[in-house]
Amino acid sequence: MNDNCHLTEDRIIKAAADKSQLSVAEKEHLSNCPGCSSALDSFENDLKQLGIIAELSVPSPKRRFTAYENRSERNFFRVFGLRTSLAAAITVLFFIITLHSDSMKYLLNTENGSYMDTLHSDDLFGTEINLLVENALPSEYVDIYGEADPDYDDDSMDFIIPSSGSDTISEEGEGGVLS
Amino acid sequence: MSEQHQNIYSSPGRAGNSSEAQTVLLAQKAVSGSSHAFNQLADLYYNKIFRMVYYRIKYKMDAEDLTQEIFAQAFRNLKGLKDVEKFKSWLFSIAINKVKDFKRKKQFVSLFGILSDRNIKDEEEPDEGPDSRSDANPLYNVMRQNFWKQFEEILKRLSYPEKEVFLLRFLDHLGINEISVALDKNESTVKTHLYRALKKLNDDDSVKRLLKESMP
Repeated sequence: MNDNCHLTEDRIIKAAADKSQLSVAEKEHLSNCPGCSSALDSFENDLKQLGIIAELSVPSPKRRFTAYENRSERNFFRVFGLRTSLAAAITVLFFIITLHSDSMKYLLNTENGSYMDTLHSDDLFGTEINLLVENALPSEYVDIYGEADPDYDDDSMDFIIPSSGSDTISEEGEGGVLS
Repeated sequence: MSEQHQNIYSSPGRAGNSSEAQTVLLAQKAVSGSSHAFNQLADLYYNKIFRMVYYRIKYKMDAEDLTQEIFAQAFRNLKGLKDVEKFKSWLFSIAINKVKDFKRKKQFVSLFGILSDRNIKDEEEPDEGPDSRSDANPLYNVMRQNFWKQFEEILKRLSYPEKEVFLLRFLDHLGINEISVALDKNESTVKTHLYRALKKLNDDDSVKRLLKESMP
């Protein structure tokens, strides 16, 4: 404060920045002195006017902000979208089912070799079936009718069991060979 | 001065208190996961943050983009808000950092001489983007451009912290405490910067001159 107890320009500026920076005596003077309070009011008013003009000189924003997600409700479907989520869910389901299927169990259970054993026994069984398809009779019967004989051939078989071609001959044979 | 603005400045306490109470209530809900509450907060603060950004970069499109980014970041980092009563300061601190990043990027780009035409124009004068007020009144548009040019000249006399504190206090209408939280500085530092800024502006009467020229 100066000799007349009025606030200096510096103190007015200090007060405009923050009134709490003034001493109690200065605050008291400010509330009682019309000169000092009008100087402060004028300075503060200029700053307010500046704020108002600045505010009016800003264009209006066109967009608004919208938060679409509720973070507590954020889940798989909301994060990745419905289609992607469904596709992912189906894929996961497929893998779960496949992993629990017997074939996958065998595939995964290769450590003790049970899958390889099964494959081998399946292979043997397949060979056995193929052999039976080629020759359904047990080996003893093959020996009986001579198929085991290396000289045995189609002609020998035709001799034992005449083919349908011989029937024709026999038909002709009514007045022919057999007759 | 418009009636609305007179009301704002004549009774800051009451309006401020109800708005603060609403902010705290909405911030609490938003932190606990309500996006609806956050949207209400965004409605409440969108214009304030947009203006805050515009005061600093003076280009409408960039200001809009940055404002969106600020709110998106605020929404993502809501869990980081420890004290809901400081939501406003926290939001402004995000905005300050975003603007700083934006300016840094712009400086980096201009350093390598790859300024686009738009940015060069932007450097020269504030944008003339379509605005309902400017469309209605071409004089308003001219005055607006003139105001920002002169305002920029005034701000050039201030150091970065002085400028930031001055803008936050008198254009963004933040309290000393809110500024100190937003800038992460103690209150006495904020007051010192503000005092220095006001002293510089008072000494050359620049604010008075600007007001005289800008008043219709």
